[in-house]
Amino acid sequence: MVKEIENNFGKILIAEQVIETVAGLSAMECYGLVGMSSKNMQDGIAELLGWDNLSKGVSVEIQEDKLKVELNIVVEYGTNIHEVANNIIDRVKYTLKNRLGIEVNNIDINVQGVRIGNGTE
Amino acid sequence: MAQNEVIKTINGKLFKKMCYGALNRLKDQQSYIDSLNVFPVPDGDTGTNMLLTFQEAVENLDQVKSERIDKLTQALSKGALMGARGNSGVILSQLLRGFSEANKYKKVMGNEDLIKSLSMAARIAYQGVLKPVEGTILTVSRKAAKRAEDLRDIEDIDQLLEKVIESAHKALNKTPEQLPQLKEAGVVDAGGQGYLTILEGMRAGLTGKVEVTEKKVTKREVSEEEVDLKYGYCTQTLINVKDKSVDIEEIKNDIEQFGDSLMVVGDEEIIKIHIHTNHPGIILEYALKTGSLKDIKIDNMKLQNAEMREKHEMKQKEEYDNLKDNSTEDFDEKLIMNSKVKELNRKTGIIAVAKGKGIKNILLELGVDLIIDGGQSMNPSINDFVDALEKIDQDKVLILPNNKNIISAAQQASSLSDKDISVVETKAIPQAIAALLVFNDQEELEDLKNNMESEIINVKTIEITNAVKNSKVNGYEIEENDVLGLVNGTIKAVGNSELEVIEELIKSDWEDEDLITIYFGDGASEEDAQEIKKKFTERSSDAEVEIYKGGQPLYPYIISLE
Repeated sequence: MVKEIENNFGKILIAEQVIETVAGLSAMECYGLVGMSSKNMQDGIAELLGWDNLSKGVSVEIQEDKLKVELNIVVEYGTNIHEVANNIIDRVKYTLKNRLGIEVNNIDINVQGVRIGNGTE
Repeated sequence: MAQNEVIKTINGKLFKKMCYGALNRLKDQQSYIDSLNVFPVPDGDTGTNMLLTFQEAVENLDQVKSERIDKLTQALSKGALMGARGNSGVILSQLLRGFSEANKYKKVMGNEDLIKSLSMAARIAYQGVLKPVEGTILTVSRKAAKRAEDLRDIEDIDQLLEKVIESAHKALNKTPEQLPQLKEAGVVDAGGQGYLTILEGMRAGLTGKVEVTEKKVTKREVSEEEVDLKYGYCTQTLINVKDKSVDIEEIKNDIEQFGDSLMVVGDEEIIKIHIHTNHPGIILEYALKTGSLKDIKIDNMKLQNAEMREKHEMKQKEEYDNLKDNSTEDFDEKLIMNSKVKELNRKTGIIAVAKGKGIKNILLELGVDLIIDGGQSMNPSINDFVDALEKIDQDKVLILPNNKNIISAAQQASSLSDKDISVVETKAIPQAIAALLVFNDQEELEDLKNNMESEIINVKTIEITNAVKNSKVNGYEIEENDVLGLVNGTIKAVGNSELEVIEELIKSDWEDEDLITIYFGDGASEEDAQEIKKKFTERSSDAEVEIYKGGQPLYPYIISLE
C-alpha cells in the first residue's frame, strides 16, 4: 500500500516502508528508547533491531485517508515508560507531519522489552 | 569563596538545601532555557519540563524524614521518575537515578561519593539511548563527570563543584559545534543549560551564596525581550481537558490573535498554554471552555522590564519624532483635539476613531473635533470613549467608530455619559469620510445620524490586507501572508500580490462607480498606488481617482468607491 497525497499539480505517493523508516528513526531520537524490536515476534523474544532495519519494528496501516502506526519498542529500565512512550508518540506524530506532510490518526506503542543497563558498577 | 569552613561531606540537611537551591535556580532560568529550544517539537518546553520534573522530585524528597543520603537521593530519583515530563524530564530523571545508585548504603556524601555520583549519572543517562547524540545534555553531564574524576584530591566539595561547573559550562558552550542545528539557531543546548543550572543551584545551596554564571545573550533571547515589550503578561496554565476531541491546533488558532510567544502543547488529557498577552483574562476564560484549569501563572513582564521598556519607548519616540515632518500635532497621542474646529463653536461635536497619520489629518480637515487612536486590532476601550466624551465641549456628540468591532464599545460608552450622543455605525474610514461630507451643524442629532447612515450605504470600501494565519473563509483556502481583498468587510479575493487582488476585485465587484479614493498605508508607496489607479482608469475612463497617504498600519490600501 502507498499513501497518496493529492494536490493541484499531481499526486505524491509515499511507500509504506518510507513511513515505517521515518517513524522508526524519529522514535530513536527519543530518550529512553533503546531500540526497536521485530513486529513479528513469534518466539516471544524481543530482539533489538539494528539501525538498518528499524522499519521492521514499525507497522503502518493505510486505510484510505487514515493512517495507523504501530511501534514495537524496547526501553531502558528505570525510565518512566509511560512518559517515554508519550514522548515517542508526540515525536513520531510531529515528524511525520513535518517531514512527510502526513497526519497520523493513531499511534500505538507496544513495549516489548526492557533493557537492563549493561554493566553498571 | 570567603568562607573559611571547608565542606568535606554533605549530610542529609545540606543535601536538601542543595536541592532547594537547584530548584530555585531552575525556576529563575526556566524561561531562559525555554527560549533556547531549537525545534518547535511538541515537548519543546525544555525548561518547563525540567523544572516540573525536578519540582516533583524535590516534593518527594520533602516527604522523607530520614537524613541519610541514600534515602534522600532515592526519594529524589523516584520523584523525578514519577514526575518525568518530556524528553528532557526523562533524561533528568535518569541523571538523578545515577545519583541515587551511586549513594546506596551511604549515610553522608563525601567528595569521592560526589564524583562517583556524577559519573554514575552520566553513565546511566547514556544507557537510555542506543545511539547517543553528542552536543546535548548527555555530553554536558559526561564532560562534567570526566572532569570530576580527575579531581579526586580536592577535598573541599565547594571547590570541587566549582571546577565541575566550570567544565560543564565549557562543554555547554561547545554544544553548538557538535550539533549543527544549535549553531544555526545561535544557541546552546537547552537541556545542557538545564543541567548546568541544576549544578549551579546545588552549589549555591551548599554554600548559601548565589553565584550566577553570566547568561549568554543569544539571538533568541533578544527577540524575546523585544516581544515582551509588546505584551505585558506571560500567561501560563494547564488545562485538564473535558472533551478528548479537543484539537490543539484549533486552540492555537483561536488564541493566537491575543499575543505572541504562543505555545500550546499537551495530549488528550492535559494541555498547557503559554502565551505573552495583554489580556490574560481572555486567555483564561477561553481555556475554561476547554476544561478545568491548574497551575495558573501570570507574570507581569512589563514590570520586570520597566527599565528596558522606558529605553525602548524613548527610542520609539525619537524615531517617531524623526518621522513627523512639519506637523506639530503628536499623532501618537491617544486623543487628538482639533483646535481649528473649536473656534467655530459648533453645537454638535464629532468623535472619530482612526489610525494612521494621513487618515487622521484628513478627518481633522473634514471637521472632526476629536480623534481616538485605534482601529483594527487596536480597539479603543470604553474608557477611551468616556475620556473623549468628557474632553469634548459640546453636549451633543456624534461618534464615528469606523470599525465594526468598535461600534459596541462606542454605544456602551454613550450610555454611560450624560451627554446627548449618537453613534453612526461606520465600519470603515471611507464611510466616515462620506458621512462627514453631509454633516450639517443646524440639524438635530437623530436626523444627522439618519442622513449619514443613508449616505454610507452608497460607499463601497475595499480593504487590502495580509492574512496573519492559515484559515478557511468563504470557501477560500487562505495561507499566512496571502493578500486578502475585502469588500465592505467580507473577503472577496485572495492572491499573492496586492495588484492581483485588486484586479480581481475590479472584475468581480465593479458597479460603475465614478469616484475612487485610494488611501495607501504602511508598506505601500505612492508609486504602487499609481499602478492601482491605472487599473481603475483602464476599467472606466470616466472614473476620477484620487490618492492620499493614509499611513494606516495593517492595511496597505483602503479604497473607497462611490
